Amino acid sequence: MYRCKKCGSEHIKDKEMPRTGKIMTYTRLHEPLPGFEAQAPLYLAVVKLDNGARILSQIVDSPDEAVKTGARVKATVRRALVDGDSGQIVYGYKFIVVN
Amino acid sequence: MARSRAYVSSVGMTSIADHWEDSILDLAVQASREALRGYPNKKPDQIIVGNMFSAVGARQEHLGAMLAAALGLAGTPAFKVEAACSSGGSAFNVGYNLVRSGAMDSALVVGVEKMRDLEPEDVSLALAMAESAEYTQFVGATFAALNGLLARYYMEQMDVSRDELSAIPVIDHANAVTAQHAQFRKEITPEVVSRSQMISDPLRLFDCAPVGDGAAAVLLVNDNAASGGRRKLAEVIGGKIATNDFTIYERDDMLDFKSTRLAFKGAMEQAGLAPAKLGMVEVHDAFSVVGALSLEAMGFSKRGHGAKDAKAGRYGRGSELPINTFGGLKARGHPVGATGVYQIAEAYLQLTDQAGKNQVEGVEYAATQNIGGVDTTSAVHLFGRAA
Repeated sequence: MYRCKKCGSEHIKDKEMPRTGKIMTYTRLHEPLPGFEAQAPLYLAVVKLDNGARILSQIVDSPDEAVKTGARVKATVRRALVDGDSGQIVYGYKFIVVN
Repeated sequence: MARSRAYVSSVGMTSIADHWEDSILDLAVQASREALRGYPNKKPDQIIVGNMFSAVGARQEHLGAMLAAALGLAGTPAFKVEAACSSGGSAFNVGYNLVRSGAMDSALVVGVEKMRDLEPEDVSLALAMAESAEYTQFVGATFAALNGLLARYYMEQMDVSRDELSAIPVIDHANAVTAQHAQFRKEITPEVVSRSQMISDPLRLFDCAPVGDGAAAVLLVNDNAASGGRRKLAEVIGGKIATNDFTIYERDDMLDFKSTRLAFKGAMEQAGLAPAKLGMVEVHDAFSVVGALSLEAMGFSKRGHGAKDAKAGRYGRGSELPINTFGGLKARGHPVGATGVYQIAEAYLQLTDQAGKNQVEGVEYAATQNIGGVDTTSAVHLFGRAA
């Protein structure tokens, strides 16, 4: 966001997000986008972080039974994607269910 | 410039199918010629093409000029309008505003998409461009996955059952049986939906609109261009586009289709029409859950009741408010950039009593609702019989 949708201010500052939250909703995707085939079937979730902010992320390293609405999750760093044969290996955040 | 009334005076549609032997231009020309036959010896002042990903699907851009030249109309102002799956409705909205303002007296609006020349994973990649490359494509989420997230949220928050969610696809398929241009013309049962292949849990194959090729064209005219002739006209009485927060999860309420709500409200105010007067709606059911939430956003069903009402018989043929009279996105088909124009062509056929076996008897007013992304852009238009 470059301008606040409420007041129109352009004074936007980055803010560090909490690394924990809970699953608002999730899906199990059988055919992800090209490049993500090795991760299929892929759990994706809308995670509501502990400060109320919501993001879309993969749920990894969690037993199937543990992935459900309301489950508590914590962020971790993982390889996100590989940009072709000669591009970067990009890292990003994914989430693990915690008990 | 004085405002004028605007009308759809003729339409053209290809069937929606695997058009292996037709190029994107062939399809656009076929639909255009049919629409222009209703406008003999005249040339449209403007050509507008609605299309989402011709660059990927056909390795072709610059569709406006290309179509104009192919129709023997080189010289005509022409361009493409893109707003993901609402490209068709958005292109029409531009034409509507040009024509009713008097800036142009007539406009040919053509929606076209070639999807079937791509491998399935490349269709997925193309559709994913409706969503954020940095945040959504980045996590491997397909467009179906986003709708899967929405579907689970809808079912859990609003206590909607599997069979209730299946009701709109069932209505669509029943209506498409007698629709000549529809892609899938077989009735289905709720069991067919719930037994179909899982795509992105809980969405199954039959919750999702199919992939296909097609083109639809409509000719817009104002009072200056409409005079004379025995053409059947449908009046465009309102039309608005609205947008939403770009990613579904940043929205305060994922179940509030704000774009559709605002576009519908704006169009209805523009038309001065009471909702009870609407006799049919062409709803954008790219996924069953999207159809249900669209009906709620337009106020036809209370919050959480779109799918339930469909299951209870509210929206089928012969009901008080029939939807998707030729099969909607699920059964008529969804060549993405073309869909909005198909909806409008269908509304035109209904209001001019040319809908054959799909005719909604005596319908006076029709609404069309065309979405890009997950209600990220919504283009709503309203039509009535010409006086």
